[in-house]
Amino acid sequence: MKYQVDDEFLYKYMLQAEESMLKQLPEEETICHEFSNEFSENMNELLRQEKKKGLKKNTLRVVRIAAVFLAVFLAVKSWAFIRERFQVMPDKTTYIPSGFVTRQPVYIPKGFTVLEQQGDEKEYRIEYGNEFQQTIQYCQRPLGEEELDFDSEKADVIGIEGNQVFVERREDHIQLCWEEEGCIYTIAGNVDESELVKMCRSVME
Amino acid sequence: MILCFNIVETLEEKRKFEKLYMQYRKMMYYVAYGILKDSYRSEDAVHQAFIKVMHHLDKIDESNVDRTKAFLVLITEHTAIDLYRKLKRETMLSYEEASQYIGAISGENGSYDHEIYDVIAKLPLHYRTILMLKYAHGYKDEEIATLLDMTSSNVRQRISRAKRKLQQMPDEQEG
Repeated sequence: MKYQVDDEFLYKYMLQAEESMLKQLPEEETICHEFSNEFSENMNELLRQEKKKGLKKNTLRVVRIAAVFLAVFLAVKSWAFIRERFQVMPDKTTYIPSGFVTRQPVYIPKGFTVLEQQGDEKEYRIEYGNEFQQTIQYCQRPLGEEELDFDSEKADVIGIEGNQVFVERREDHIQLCWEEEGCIYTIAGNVDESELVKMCRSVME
Repeated sequence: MILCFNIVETLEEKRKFEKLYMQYRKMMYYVAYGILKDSYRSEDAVHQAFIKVMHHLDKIDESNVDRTKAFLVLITEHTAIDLYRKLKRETMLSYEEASQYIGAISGENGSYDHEIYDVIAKLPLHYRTILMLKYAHGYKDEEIATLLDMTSSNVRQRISRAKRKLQQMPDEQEG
């Protein structure tokens, strides 16, 4: 009898060999043996241990699950507290004390850097500048009782990303102003108007 | 709710253990007696086997009666052989020698249907137990190691030797 003992062989024959082995065993009912008292006592002790072990194991499991629930509860409460105390900006934003969700331009004209950035509950303001002393002011305020402060006769109205944007030109100073999602936005500066429009669009996007 | 679930689970484990005890203790005794030939020591082996089983209740699928029975037989055999070796340590009895005592359940009378089963049945017990746990029950080396109080590397080594032995046995029988 020749065969190659490898995993395939063993997976094929071990189960069947085991079944054959079981067939050799007599039925439980036909085995006549009276267990000793000592054995019975030992086994009863074991059964009691099993009960205790189960309770201990499951108590530990309950404690673990409770700890996880507590941790999740505390995390949720903490997050709610942070959200309440500091408004979380979705993107393009920073944290400022409670008031409104701030946004800022993603696009900044070439050569310009942030000179100043400040915010409070009433206003969020950024000033940009370049080496040629040109400046751009960006401002976002929550819409309150005040309305857009614009002389409609002097201002043009253009459409950007579906919003009405007022454009006021005073000599070389240009100001864009619009209202969106409960805030008034202004971008003003002594730069090319197309650059301000790009900034405006990047805020809306 | 969680507490209720856990209480049910605890009761379920206890019930499972009790059922195994009531259903298989005599069969386990028979297996142990086949090796130890001593009533008192056989009961001791059954008790120790149940201690091992108690820690691996999750591995037992009651719905598969044959598999459960085979599992308990393997654990009992292994425990009985361990006990036998412990008792005979001073004579340095080997596993191979101890296995000679299990003729009653190893098919030496040639009652197996197939020659291969006959060869497997004659395999030394410490080899056969591990091969069956791995290839018939699908346990991983690490699980077998935990079950039989061995290291994983020892299990792998023994599997390798068992394969070699199984390969050589037909030649030995012919020789």
